[in-house]
Amino acid sequence: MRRRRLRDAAAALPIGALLIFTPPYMRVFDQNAELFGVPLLHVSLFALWFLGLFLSALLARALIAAEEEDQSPVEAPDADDRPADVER
Amino acid sequence: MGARILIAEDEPFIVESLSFLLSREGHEVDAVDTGSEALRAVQRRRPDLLLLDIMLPETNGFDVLRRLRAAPGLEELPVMVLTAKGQEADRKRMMELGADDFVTKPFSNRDLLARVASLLGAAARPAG
Amino acid sequence: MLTTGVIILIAGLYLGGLFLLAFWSERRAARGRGGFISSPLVYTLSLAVYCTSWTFYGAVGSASRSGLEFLTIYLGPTLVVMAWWFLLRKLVRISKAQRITSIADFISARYGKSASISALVTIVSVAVVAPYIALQLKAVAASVDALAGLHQAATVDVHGRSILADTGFWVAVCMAVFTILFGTRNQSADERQPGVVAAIAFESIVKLLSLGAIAVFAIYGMNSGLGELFDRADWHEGVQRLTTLQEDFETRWLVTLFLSAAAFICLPRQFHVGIVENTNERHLATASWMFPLYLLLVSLFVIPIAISGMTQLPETVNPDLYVLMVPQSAGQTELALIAFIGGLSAATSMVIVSSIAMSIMISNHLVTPLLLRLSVFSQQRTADFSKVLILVRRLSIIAILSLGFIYYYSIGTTSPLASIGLISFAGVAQFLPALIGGVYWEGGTKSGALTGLIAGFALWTYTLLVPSFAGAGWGFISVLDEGPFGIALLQPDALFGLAGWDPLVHGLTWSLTANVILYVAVSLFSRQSPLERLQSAVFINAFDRSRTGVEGAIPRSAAPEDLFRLARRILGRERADQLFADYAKSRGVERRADLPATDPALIVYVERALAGSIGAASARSLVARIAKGETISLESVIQILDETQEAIRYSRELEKKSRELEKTARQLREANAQLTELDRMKDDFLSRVSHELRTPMTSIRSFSEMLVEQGAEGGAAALEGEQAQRFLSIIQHESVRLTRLLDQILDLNRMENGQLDWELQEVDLADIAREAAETMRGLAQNGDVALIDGLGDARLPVLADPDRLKQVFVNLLSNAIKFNDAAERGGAAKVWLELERRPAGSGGAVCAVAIRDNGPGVPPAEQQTLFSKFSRGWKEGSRRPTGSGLGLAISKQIMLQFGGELLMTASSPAGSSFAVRLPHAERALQAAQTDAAPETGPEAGPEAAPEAAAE
Repeated sequence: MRRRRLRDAAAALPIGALLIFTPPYMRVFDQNAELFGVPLLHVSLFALWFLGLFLSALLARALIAAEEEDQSPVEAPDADDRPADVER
Repeated sequence: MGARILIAEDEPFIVESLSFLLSREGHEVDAVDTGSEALRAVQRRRPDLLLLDIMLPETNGFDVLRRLRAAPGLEELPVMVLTAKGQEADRKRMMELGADDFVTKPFSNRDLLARVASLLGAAARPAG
Repeated sequence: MLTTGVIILIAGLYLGGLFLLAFWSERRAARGRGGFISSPLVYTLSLAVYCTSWTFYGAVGSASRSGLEFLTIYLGPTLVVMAWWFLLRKLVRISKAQRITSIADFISARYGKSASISALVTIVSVAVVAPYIALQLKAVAASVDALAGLHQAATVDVHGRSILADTGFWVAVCMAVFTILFGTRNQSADERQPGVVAAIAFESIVKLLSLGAIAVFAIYGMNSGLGELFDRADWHEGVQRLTTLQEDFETRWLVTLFLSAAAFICLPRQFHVGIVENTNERHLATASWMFPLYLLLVSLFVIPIAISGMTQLPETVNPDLYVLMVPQSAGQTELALIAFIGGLSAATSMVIVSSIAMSIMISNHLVTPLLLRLSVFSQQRTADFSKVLILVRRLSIIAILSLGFIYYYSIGTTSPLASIGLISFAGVAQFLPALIGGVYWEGGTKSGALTGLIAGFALWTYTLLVPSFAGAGWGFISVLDEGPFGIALLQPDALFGLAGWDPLVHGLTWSLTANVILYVAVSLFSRQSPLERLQSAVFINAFDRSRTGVEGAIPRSAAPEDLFRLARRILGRERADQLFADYAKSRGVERRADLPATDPALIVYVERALAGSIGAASARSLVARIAKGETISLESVIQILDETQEAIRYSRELEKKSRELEKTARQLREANAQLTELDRMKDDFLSRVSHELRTPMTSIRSFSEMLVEQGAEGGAAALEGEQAQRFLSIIQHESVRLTRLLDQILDLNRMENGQLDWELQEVDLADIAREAAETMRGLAQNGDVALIDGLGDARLPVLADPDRLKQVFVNLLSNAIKFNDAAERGGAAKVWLELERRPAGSGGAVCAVAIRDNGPGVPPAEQQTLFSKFSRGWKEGSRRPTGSGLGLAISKQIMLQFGGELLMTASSPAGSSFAVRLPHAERALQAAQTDAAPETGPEAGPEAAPEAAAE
């Protein structure tokens, strides 16, 4: 259950980010205002960008933790040739 | 010769007919109508023969037989079973449990008396 | 002012340092302390090779010229990396399983390990990468010139300079040497080469830091802070462009966003560092936030530099060079040098990684297949093919760098850096349909992919590449202006009349649309080969673990020795030995010679290992030559797939059937148990009946015999008259008993079988009860039992047979009287007839009479079997009653037949109570009406009933 919710969040994040950084939404921030002398547009864009990657970090940790819980190794097989890879 | 016979039977008319028959032969007849009564009576005053109806109220006739045979001193007591069941399997069971003979209801008077006499005779004869 | 010579010297020193770093890293790794190259940080930094000199220089240029559009170049990869769980992870997983060596290998492997696809993708990549490399060389050359104070013109004109005097040439040479030295040690594409990895990571750090330094300088060195910087927006048009969104920015914004996302996956070098060289899926998780962070910082740095450049540098300065010129113009030579080094890092890292990636692609997908076709290889030569392979790789590096240099040298670059970059992006975006379709759509076929790729590539060349040639002065001007052969409709930048579009958007739309449409359409109409189908399933279901190992099911056989010889030739003796030793160990076998003769798993294993070096297509064809049994036997693969499906379906059906069988078996068992029980009950009943019948028979027979025999010869003495009379009466009594018993049994039987036919009349329940009481009065008096009528004036009309109903009451009363021992306990025996107290709400629908006594009650043990046949009396010690034991059973049956019930409602040592219940006459009539005549409406009922009752 948690896995599914995580999975949904993992899909929602990039989609949400995509939407935010598309024209209609971007225009919202294109106001004639300044924050600490920096245009609002810039501040908001970068702030959102930062927020996005922050959420991504949290999600990534959660996803990896969930993967580990499932006891199935997330690691891709090592670069060395190992017979075990083939036998699976 | 008169023997002491105990009848364990709960049907009054059958008791009456048996008493009449046996006392006419000169035996002393006593009657009880339950299994537990029968066991008590047997302990109190040992009869020479026990006529036991298998279908007594409250106690299982087989049970009575078993307990009878288990009681010390009563192994030798001749027991004749009165039963409404006449099948082979039941007969075997009764014999296994220690009955000496049995008679199916309805019985023939002559047959009954013959068997009683035989049992009493056998008992009178010393064992072996 | 620095001279060119000094600058070049510094560059040389920097590159020399890079060499040292690479060397040192290799030494460390060889000593076993190379773990650092597998850290997620290093992975992310290698992803940062995305930021080439286009970013370092061109981003500022783009920001100055076109405002915030440059952000899309970094937002695209951010989005892709945020969605790592779905796309990148899948790509990595597949690549690991299939031993993918490059993006060409990936796409080709998906479509049945097709050599034609991998070749095509490689060619497209060459066409795309060469300009990109040229771009890097151009950036370095321009930066050298700018630093040296030369040629601050808006463009850099390289014509007329001899090659040897050209910075770009020496950079290219240097990169070739570096890459050959450190990038072709091993032939396995996914074995990380520590030197290269360390160098790239280092350069990513340098890039970021130097850009950051310039940005900080621009804010605080050139101005007094951000506020002042952005105030320039008030009067500078360029800065204004940067601080707000343009009109009509949407299309280009979305297009470049899409392109950068596509490029992040499809650029050969990005695919190489991101997918092929990934050693751990978990690194993707770290990269999902670390890489966007890097990109965010880069973008952040770009803005102040751009603003500063626009407002504080002369108009003639090339915006692409602001990064250099901003510190330079303020006299900060050291900072300018730092910037230069940063730019150099950006350029060199791109060149190194690109040439490695391209060398793998060229050697695996173009050269090796040719070699195989030339049957150079199939001769049994002891010469190691592995050496040949490495040589081919090195030559490929030289080739691609040469191509890049030629492009750089001859094209003169009138276009700003950014536009070349975007054209390249548009080129690799042609891979996207086949790639994405390959990973998510099982229906994508090789023909579809090929067609789409060819069409997309062709259109891209025509609409984007050719105009760039024209712009560079390579001719094609007439084609551009009037269309080929004068056909205006086919003008490269206004195809079929779509004029006035932004050239990038125009070119991309045409090429990608054609690509996708053809890919989908042709795929829908073409069939997949069995191998394609297999591969497609493996790719689509990459996250499904059970899918691996399917290939082993294809029956192939090859002698281990043959496989070993093949491996040795391709991979070199040492690696082949190790390979087989590992395999033998996993099989629990000591030596290679002891491996089983036919082992399909070994074949797959070797093929995969080879694929890691020469690509899946070549590996497959090589192994196929020595593995007997066609790997792509149509029948067997289809059969296997079908059989598997069939087996799954069959097993599901079996499961369902077995569940149903179980259910049926259970039902049968239950039925059987019931029947056995019934059988037992029947036996029981019969034996009881037999017993009940034999008992009176015994008396009859015994006494009859006595009567008959009296006076017979040899018989007993004659009986006395009284005795004889007695015996006769007993015989009569028992005969009656016997007869009555037989009647009851038959009665009960008939009742149970529904064979009795009696007439229901309306009678009064209370009256019947009283009649029964009258009949029993004599018996009650004899037993000193008081019969008390408590029914009062109640009217209880019911439908029943009066005699039978009376029989029920008689039975109950008789039991109540006979078994009442209250007198013996010192009380007065009493039996009451009363109306049953009904619970509230049941209304007058049911009529009930209760018979209550103060007898000893029914012992709990007997309560269950009270109404069953032949359950007998329960009084201890007394003579057995002469009832048959059937009375209650019959009474209950009678009540059931009348639609009522008879039950014991209470029993305790203080007495018991029985209830006789019947539905009210009206109700019963109604029920009879609706049962008998369904056509008549319900209204007919109530009216009909009283009428019938009145009769």
